[in-house]
Amino acid sequence: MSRHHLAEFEEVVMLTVAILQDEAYGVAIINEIEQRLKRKVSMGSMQTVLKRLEQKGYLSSAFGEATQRRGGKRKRYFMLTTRGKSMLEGVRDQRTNLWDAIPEIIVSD
Amino acid sequence: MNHIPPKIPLKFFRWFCHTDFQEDIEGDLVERYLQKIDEKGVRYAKWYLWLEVLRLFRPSMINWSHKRLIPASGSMLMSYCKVSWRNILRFRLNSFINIAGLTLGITCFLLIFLYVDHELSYDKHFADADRIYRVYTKENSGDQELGSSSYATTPLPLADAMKAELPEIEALTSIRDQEVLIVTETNSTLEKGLWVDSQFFQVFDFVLLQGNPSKVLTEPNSIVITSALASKMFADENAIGKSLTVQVRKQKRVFNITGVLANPPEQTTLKFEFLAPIEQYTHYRNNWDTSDSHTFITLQHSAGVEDVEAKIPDLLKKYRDEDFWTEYRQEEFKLQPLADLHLSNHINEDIGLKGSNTHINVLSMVAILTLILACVNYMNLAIARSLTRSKEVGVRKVIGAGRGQLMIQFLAESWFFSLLAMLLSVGLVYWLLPVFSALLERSLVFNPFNEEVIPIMVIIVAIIGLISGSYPAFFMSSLKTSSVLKGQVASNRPSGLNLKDVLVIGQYAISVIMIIGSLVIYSQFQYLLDKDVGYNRERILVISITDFPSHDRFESLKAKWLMNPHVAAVAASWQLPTSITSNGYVEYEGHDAENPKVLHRTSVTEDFLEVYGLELLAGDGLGVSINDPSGILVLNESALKSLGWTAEDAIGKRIEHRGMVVGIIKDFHMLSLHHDIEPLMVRRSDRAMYRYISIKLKPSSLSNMQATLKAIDEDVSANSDFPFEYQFLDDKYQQLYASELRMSKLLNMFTILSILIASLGLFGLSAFNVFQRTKEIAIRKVLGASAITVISLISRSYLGLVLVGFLVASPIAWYLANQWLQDFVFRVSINWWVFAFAGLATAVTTLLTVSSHSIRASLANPAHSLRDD
Repeated sequence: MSRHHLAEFEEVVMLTVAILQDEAYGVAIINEIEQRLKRKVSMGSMQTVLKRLEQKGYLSSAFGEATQRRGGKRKRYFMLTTRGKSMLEGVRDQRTNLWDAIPEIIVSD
Repeated sequence: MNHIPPKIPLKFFRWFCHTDFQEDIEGDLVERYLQKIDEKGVRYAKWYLWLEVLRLFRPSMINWSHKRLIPASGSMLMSYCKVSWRNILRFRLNSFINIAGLTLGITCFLLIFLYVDHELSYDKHFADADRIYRVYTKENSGDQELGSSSYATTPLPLADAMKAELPEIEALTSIRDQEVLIVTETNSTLEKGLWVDSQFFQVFDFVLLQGNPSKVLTEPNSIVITSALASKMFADENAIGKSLTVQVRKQKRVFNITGVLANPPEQTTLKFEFLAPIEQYTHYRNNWDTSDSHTFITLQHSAGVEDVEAKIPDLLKKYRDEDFWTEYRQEEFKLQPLADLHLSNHINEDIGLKGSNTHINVLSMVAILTLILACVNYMNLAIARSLTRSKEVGVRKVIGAGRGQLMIQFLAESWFFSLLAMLLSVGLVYWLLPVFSALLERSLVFNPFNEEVIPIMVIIVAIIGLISGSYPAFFMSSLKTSSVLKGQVASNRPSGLNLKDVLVIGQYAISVIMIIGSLVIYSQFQYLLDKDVGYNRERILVISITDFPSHDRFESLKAKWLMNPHVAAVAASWQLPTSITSNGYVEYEGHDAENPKVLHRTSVTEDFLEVYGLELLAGDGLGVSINDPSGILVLNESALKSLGWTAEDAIGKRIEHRGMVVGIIKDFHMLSLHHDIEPLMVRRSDRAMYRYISIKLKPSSLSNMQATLKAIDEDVSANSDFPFEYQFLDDKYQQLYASELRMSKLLNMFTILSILIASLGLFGLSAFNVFQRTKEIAIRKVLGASAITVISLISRSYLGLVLVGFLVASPIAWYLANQWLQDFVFRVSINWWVFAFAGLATAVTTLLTVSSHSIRASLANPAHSLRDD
């Protein structure tokens, strides 16, 4: 396995965190993924991935403000770390390399 | 609008979630909940919240170091274990009863589970098991045999037609089963085998150790044998290429062994030791009237059973010549899944070993009941002890134990007991299994480390622990600390029925049902054995001969045996009076073609009526000279009624192809008592074939009998290649009811066990009761109560409960027993003494159980128990 390896869902979550910039907290990330990719995401699987990415050092997190709508609980905002950013770029470069290597997409039916 | 999220899921979430991320995720949950309300409404949102919480319950989210996940951490946990252990040791009798009761219950359950599992696993081992069907014949003419109009066999040409015309069929094989004599230079043995066609291995994937499945049966004289038969006949030598002789009746043929099969699994309906090509029976190939082969098919994945069945009538139109019989009989051909074969008993002339649905149902019920009995014991003793334990609960609560902790403590205790009982049961099952297997005539295997058995055992332990521990766990943990410590629970007993009494009543009701059930089965069995069936069953030796000697040979043997002073009469017959199942339509003078009659029939020699003591009502016996080319007949009374004849005009009438009626005999039970008496003709003819010789012996000493038997053995062996096989008719008769006998034995065993379990419980209960009332009894004695008064004081309350249990159980038992008896045309009526006996038996066991404690209490010196205060 190469150094630049991310599971598909991990990649999606990291990209979404990047998209949301300063607004990347739990519910926002889920909504963003559901809207953009039209797929159902459970909080359980997403939180697990967030924790894992944070452990790997690709994301960092910090508590934010509490709101009435959240029953007085604070939000946890996630941010991309430098490692995370270079990781994402590495993954993209790998993909681009692969795409560049294809002369023309041939499909069989 | 309801904006407050449901509390329970959030509480649960807070309980398991790691504190580090509890706050923000809970916030997320709430926010998302409100969002879902806006999108899809409150109901959906609530449901969704539950789902989200459950999906968050995963290892990465759970706080493992959190003490709330472990019921009592550290010193508290130690304290629980210590107290539980002390409780077990302190109340030794109590613990013993609990463990013994649970062990007995679990042992019963495991044994029965093994049996039921075994019975349900027949024929499931084939790769295509769910696509294999058996084709059977259903007669729509109203013609019945033994109460069923379905027959397992089909004509051979049907198989050919189905193979040729139905694309839904992936593979098809025709099978005939037969017992033959297999002979090599050194050995000879009687073995069951199957004559099969070449697609056999495509339908049934039996494993060939040697040989290619597509080639082993292509040559007409090839034979495939099991490795068991191979080692029996050839020891360690390679069997392939060797030859053996197969003898069917008097025909001998030499076969070459082309393959060796791995021994077929135990749970296979098709039992055989060899396979040989069915082409031996090519003379039937085009005969639609001879229905004697079994047809098995594998359907394509996409094919539907009904579609295939629906196409068969067209096949018949195309392939079969219509004649009177085909038009009259209106046969239908149906498919039955292979998996149903072992437990289907309604199809005549079926192949293979049969199980019994009744046995499975009754035993499953017994298994669950005994388990309940055992749980109830535990609960009862727990309730009895709740007085002492409630103080413990009170103190624990004062120290700060939560309700959850207490519940888990009590549940853990009962789980510990059931785990211990399970371990003991495993040992007991090992020990009892050979006896149990022999009783059921199955070879059951118990492997506690089997991946199917382990989960079952875990589930049993979990459920038993939960049920038996539920009362102490849920009730005792809810007690109010203040009232417990003031001792108010004790005085709080309701005067009417309480849970404990209801449980005792239930227990005894179950026992009474089982006692009545086994008594009814036993009395029906005795009735079957003792019933006058209309023929003689005593001192009749029955020899079965596959290659029956010629008539002249038989006559000379008979003459020789009759010279023996211990032999009274000798006759040969095709079937025995215990079970005359052959039957067919008859044509006779003035018969109505629209409404043909069926008569059962058997062929016999002249002394048959005499050997079996069949009573002649009119005309002559079969001893008169045969004046009709087809033979002479005697009819039974039912046959007269069916044909609409009187005794006078019957004699001298002819039945086409069968012979002339010369006499009328009294009805006798020519089938087992599950069935009615059928119209019957007993025929004597010069051309008949026989399978049995029946010899009526005179009363004589055992040594004379043995000498006679030996002489007969020598004579028969000199005239037959097959091993000498004999039986006394008594035994043959008993075999008709082997299934009832087995059921009776099993139920007796389990009834005794259930009484034992219930008595154990009552024993413990009364011990506790007496212990609690020690002072009361002492005071009564001081005031002048006699020992008898004290004993009756204690026994009375239990007797009352048992009586109520009996009243509850009686109607249920009556209903169940009646259901079982419906299987028999001839049955006992359920007698009042059955109930009286069951009631008396439970009452006596109750008194005996309670008496040891009550007597001790009544004899104790009151000074000892009163001195303490």
